[in-house]
Amino acid sequence: MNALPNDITVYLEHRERALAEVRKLLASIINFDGDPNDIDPDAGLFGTGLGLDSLDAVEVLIGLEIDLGIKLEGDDPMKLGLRSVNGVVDAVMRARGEL
Amino acid sequence: MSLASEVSAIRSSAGLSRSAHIVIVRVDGAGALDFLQTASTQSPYMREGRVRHTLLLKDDASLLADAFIVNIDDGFLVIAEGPSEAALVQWLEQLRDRAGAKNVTVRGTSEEWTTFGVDGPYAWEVAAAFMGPTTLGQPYLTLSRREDMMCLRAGKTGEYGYLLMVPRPNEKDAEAKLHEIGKPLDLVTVTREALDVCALENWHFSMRQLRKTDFVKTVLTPIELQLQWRVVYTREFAGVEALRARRAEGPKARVTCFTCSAPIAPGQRVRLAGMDGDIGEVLASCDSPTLGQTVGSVLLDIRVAHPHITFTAGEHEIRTCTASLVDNKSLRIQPHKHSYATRNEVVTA
Repeated sequence: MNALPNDITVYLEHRERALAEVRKLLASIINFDGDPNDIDPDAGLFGTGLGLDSLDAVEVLIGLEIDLGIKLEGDDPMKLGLRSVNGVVDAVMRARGEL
Repeated sequence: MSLASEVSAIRSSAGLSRSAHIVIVRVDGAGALDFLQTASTQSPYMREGRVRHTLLLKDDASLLADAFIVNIDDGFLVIAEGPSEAALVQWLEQLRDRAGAKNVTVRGTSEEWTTFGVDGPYAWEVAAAFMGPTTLGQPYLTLSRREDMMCLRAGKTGEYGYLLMVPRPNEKDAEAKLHEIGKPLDLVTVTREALDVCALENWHFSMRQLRKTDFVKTVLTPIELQLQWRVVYTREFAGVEALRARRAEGPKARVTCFTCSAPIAPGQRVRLAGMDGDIGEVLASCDSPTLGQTVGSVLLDIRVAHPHITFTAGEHEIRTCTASLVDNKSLRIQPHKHSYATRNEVVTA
């Protein structure tokens, strides 16, 4: 199997780490009793997808701050781009200067 | 009317479609719930009028149907995209016979019902005028009824979406009434193609995005298609053994959203600079009138199936991205506050 280019490898390591952290956070919020790795990266957070409600959205913001040390400016998940699991991963990586 | 105009209507007002691609099958009998437990990737156990968005899988865990299951009148409706009505009835009957559920009846409803779809940020105004004001507060994934009509709130465009089920003899009157209601709302008749473009723009799965691919040497399952949120692995249902086996061995590929400044055809192989060989294949793509670029889904080697990576696709570059790309108006429009007549007052940025 071909090795990935170095710059991509570094990005993917950051991405996989952030994805694992976000999956763990979301699994605890939705009381997901399966393997967090089964949470699809592009699954929507609200309505279709994970089915979060407005209270869960607040929990996501609090969880990001307490568990991951990331405070996002604002309280509207939609305006913050948090519409999918990957949307949360993007926010985490941006806050860490990895995106 | 052009495809772009139809998509624009779905994104700004409302689009009316004939839902001939959707089949509705009724499942009744004392053992209907237990039987459907063996057919659906999610449990159909729910209150009357509730709707479950689920999947029906073949034995190899590939997709047979993208389905809603509705609990209604001590029985169930299976509202599906993918197979024809006859094929879905046959599949359910075979499964029923395999399960020994002799007291369960399965029948198609195409001779009894016709269905219309209404999608758009102001689709709720059309649905409420047609079905009655309680539709204004109808929650997502529920069914409401009025006299002999039914209304399912779901939608796969990122905007408000309603599926209206009308008795077949009333079809023409219903269509005329919908157009009459929709006139002041600039309601437009839209095609299935426009709905498919909106689905892809918003990264909603559609059975019509599926195509045969030999990039991976196996069928595509909910794992590769990012549809595991509709699967409960601890349940027993058709296809679960193959799905569990795929999960145990780990996915080799996963679909990811991409954009491109040029048209890219499905089937186009993609590569990563600095690597030999193909690393993915475009599954579906469309010219997005909303975004002004090509949007699609690409099946990628699992190692690189993430957003924000640039690949080469023939002579062009595609870039994976985080879905959804569309800033849907419906996210800012609330039926109890807004109306199409006052649409210019809604902040859209």
